[in-house]
Amino acid sequence: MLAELQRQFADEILRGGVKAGIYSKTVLGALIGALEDSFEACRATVGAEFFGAMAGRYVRSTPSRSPSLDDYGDTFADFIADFEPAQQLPYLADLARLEWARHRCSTAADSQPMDPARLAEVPEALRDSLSFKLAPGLALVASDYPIDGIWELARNPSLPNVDLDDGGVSLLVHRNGATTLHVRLQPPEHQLIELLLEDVPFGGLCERLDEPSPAPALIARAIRLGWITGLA
Amino acid sequence: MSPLTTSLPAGVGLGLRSQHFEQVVEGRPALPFFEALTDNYLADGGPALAWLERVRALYPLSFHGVGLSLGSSDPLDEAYLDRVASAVDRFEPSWVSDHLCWTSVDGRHLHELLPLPYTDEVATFVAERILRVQDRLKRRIGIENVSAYLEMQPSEMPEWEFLALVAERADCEILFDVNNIYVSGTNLGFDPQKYISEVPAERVVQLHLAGYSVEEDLLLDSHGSPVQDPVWKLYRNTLEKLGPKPTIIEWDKDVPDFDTLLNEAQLAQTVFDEALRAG
Repeated sequence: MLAELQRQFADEILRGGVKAGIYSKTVLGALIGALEDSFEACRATVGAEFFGAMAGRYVRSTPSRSPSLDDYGDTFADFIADFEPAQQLPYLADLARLEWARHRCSTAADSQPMDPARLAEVPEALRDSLSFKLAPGLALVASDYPIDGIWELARNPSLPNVDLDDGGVSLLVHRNGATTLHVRLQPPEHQLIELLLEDVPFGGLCERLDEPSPAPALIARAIRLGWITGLA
Repeated sequence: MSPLTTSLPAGVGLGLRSQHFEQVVEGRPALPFFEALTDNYLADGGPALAWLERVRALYPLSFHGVGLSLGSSDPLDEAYLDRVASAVDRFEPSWVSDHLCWTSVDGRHLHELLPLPYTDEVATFVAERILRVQDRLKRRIGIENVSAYLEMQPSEMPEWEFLALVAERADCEILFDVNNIYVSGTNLGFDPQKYISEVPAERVVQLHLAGYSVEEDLLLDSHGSPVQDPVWKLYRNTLEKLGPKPTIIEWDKDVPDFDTLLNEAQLAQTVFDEALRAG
């Protein structure tokens, strides 16, 4: 009895039915509010009205699947990519991907930097099979557009306009203490992080990373910057 | 389980908001405790957890959550419960509470405190779930009466009877929200005074106060304004009837500056002290 009653009531809420009364408004409003919090730059870029309409469509088609409202919106960037009225803004989905990666990173587990000397302590014979642990929450976001500039502009509209023809970027999202950051990566760094995300061990990195940036130097830098936090 | 107790920090505390972390830790306001929204501290890491550590070093805490979905027909979310349990282990709050409501069904989460049909069968069902939560957390939890914007049918008893029945069967505590009984009483047409006189005083361990808003022809539990006059009046009545129970001001939408919150807590403390003197 209870299950059926709750199922019907939830259906009514999510489709905005009259029997749900004001609950449709409060429930959908909370979901839209969560998107507004997590995708502030997208909202500032397209304006509150457009964002509200887009988020309104998303919340009707995408129920929350977690008791934590913070988890809501993981597919919003994909939704934006397919959202017809947003097609004039081809960078918007990537901007949303950047914001989502930052959002996730901001509450990822805390980590301590790794002592670079630990790498040298690993015996030569074991080194090739050595794997690296990346900082929790670290993510790569690549785009054909300068989305870091667009993100800055959304936060500070007095900045000069961004030229979309400036080309693409590869961004690394990570956290330094309490602060979530994103930085531009050069192609070899991007390639390194990509391989590390695939859990490729040291030997594989040495084989697959292109010259002139030898793997050991890149890895040492990644340890120094706190991207790599441990060995496995 | 240990006997119900009211020997925890008395007086009026505030809901802890991220906007005020620094003021609380640096300024150390003279408040007996803070209430943290449990769900804001279930992440793996990040600055909010670090701040809560610092607040906890200075004040007792109350943990108040919205995600247990105690009245849902879905199975209890064990992963969520595990996260609550580890936060409780880490921060050792004086109280842990959630709501007498459901927030999810079929794995869909509505993030709203939805009313239950008030029947004997549902009371047993919810009480069993609370017992399992209490087993897992190895402590009693409090359940809060929610604001209702409609009556869930079929209901066969008033809310205060249902609340008392669930609390009795689960042997749990009650977090009595004074604003919510005013909001629900106005929306559904029952007398809040009757509610106050019927709630089992010995199980009530905390009180909540908040501001409501008016929308269409309903009152909403919006937590975005000062406590309104009718709720102050009910708060007096509640303290007279239930005794001086620790109280928390909830203001989590359109969060004002910290002094405004302190002032609100002071207003409540004055009412609380009067009740204490009246004995």
